[in-house]
Amino acid sequence: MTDRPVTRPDLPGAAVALILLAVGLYAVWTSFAMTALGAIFPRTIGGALMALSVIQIGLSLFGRGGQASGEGREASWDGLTRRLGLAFVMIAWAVLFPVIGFVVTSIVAATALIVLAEHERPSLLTWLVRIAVVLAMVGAFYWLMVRVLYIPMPRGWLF
Amino acid sequence: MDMLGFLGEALSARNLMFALLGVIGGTVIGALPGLSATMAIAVMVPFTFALEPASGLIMLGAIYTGAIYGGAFAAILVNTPGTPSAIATTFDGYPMARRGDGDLAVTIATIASVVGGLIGGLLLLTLSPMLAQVALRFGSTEYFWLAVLGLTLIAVLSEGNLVKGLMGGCLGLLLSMVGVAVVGGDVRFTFGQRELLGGIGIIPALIGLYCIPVLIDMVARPGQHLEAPPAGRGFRLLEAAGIAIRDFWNLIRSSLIGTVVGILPGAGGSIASLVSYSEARRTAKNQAEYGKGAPGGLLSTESANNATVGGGFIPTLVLGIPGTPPDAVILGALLVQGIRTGPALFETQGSIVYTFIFGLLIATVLMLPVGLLIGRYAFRFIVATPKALLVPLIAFMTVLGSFAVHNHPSDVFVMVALGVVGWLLNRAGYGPSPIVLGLVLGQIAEQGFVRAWMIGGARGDFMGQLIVNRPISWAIVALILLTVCLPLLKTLRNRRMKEAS
Repeated sequence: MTDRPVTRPDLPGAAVALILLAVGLYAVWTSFAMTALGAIFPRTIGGALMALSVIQIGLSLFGRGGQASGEGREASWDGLTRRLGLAFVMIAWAVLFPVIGFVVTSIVAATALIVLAEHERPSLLTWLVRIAVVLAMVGAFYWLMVRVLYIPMPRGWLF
Repeated sequence: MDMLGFLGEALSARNLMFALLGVIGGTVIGALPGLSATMAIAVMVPFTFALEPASGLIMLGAIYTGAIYGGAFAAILVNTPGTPSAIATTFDGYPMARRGDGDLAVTIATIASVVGGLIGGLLLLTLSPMLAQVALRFGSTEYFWLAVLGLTLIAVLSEGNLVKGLMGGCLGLLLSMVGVAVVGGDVRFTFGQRELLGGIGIIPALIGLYCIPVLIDMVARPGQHLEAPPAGRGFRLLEAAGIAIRDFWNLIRSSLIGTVVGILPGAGGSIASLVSYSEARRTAKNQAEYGKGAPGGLLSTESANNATVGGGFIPTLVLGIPGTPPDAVILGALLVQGIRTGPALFETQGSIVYTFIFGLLIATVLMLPVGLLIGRYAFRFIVATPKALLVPLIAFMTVLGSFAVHNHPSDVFVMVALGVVGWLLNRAGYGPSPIVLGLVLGQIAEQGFVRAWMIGGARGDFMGQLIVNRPISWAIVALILLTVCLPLLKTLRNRRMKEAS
């Protein structure tokens, strides 16, 4: 899993390292208000994170940022609108389902995701079938959660 | 009744049916991210009161083993470890699926789970009282070193840039400290939010960090999520069996690691699969392929996490100490059935206990046909379903699964937030696995260390408590040094050889 050395500055890597430097600083700073038992790990790990962040900022700026693992290698920004759209739908889903209700938000969000994930122009029948699948999926799992597993699902304003 | 009599009782049509139903139900539930073995067992416990004690316990054990195995499907096919024990399964399972070997990966996971489950079950049957003593020898210090051994995987997973991997690990460790500290009671990093007092849930974090980036990438590109296999390729059982036989020692070693770690209360399948993965990679000839779709990685993690089922029952039955949450629920069912756990259990109520253990072994064997069939359909389903349906289905399961863990909406928000942050970090070269390792192992490491510090401080001998007087810790520290130093030595040697040539 060795990468070729990156010769140009790794600005995203440096930016994240800067944020993590602040996170480490916050961890160390707040640890002084904790008991000795509670403070030892945050202080140690926060300090280590700060030191590593400083090293990484240097590495990134000198073009030796590299990848942390193979997981990021396929990184590309194509389809950025759809990517951001999915992130937006998921965040809205997570925020709104306790307020509006699990069933309604799930149907709306799942339908929005169908639109986002579709790259062709399917027929009306295909759209209807997909929406029917979403309705069946939400209904079946709602029944499973409430009736079989006795997990109370948020009903919110609408259901 | 002798052993053959217990085996015959376990093989009765009634017990076989309960074992089969349990394995099917457990596998399906385990395959759905967020729906856990604990939940399934807890729901089924009241129904088992109407059954013969052995039959009820066989069904609960079958659900447990099936659910642990079922976690591999989501890990392999959609990069979502529904349970912590399936984290390491994503390392090689998902790359295999991406390159068109999803069917082979599922079959390898099935074989590994069956072998691991059988070895764990056989050790439960034969060596329970002796192995239970191992659990008593593990103190807080050993848990700390075991967690550190798991954390050394960060070095393995971050060869491209060790510093970024270590930073991810530190971030994960800090995330594991959110909430009320178990030792000391400090409220840490909650920003005044009541919802964060209980900490960041591991399962929502796992689902978010692994699955949301996959969903974000899925919507960006047209085409299918996974490549369709050539027609008539089948289960690839012989190919998978050949791989398992060639890597037999890895399978056995990982199963033994899984059993021993399973014996330790609180350690569980996540540490077992991470430690066995680390060992498999360290000893493999094809180290460079690990993390990119090496079947050996999959063999090690899946055999280890299923071996923890048998291992976990050892302290549950012999000492009355449940090793994992599902063990705790089953222990409750045992008590309700009037079974008193303890060292004398195997003599006083041998008929129930031995029938149960044989039933567990039979359920593990049944996992082979059941798993192959369900796995085949799961793989075909993922391959055949258009992305426009697959994306909302997976997204719905992530929301449902995160909510179902504690029935709390904040878990869903944590899942999505960590997922989006994880995706952005991944763009900058910070992979999710080191963060997850830090998050999962952080609490175990911190509690182990702080307890050792307290005990050592009270005795006035901290280093003695941490390592000097702890022979088991020596062995674990030796493994840690081997895991960290050997790759460095190999790299240095290769560099010298290159320079010389």
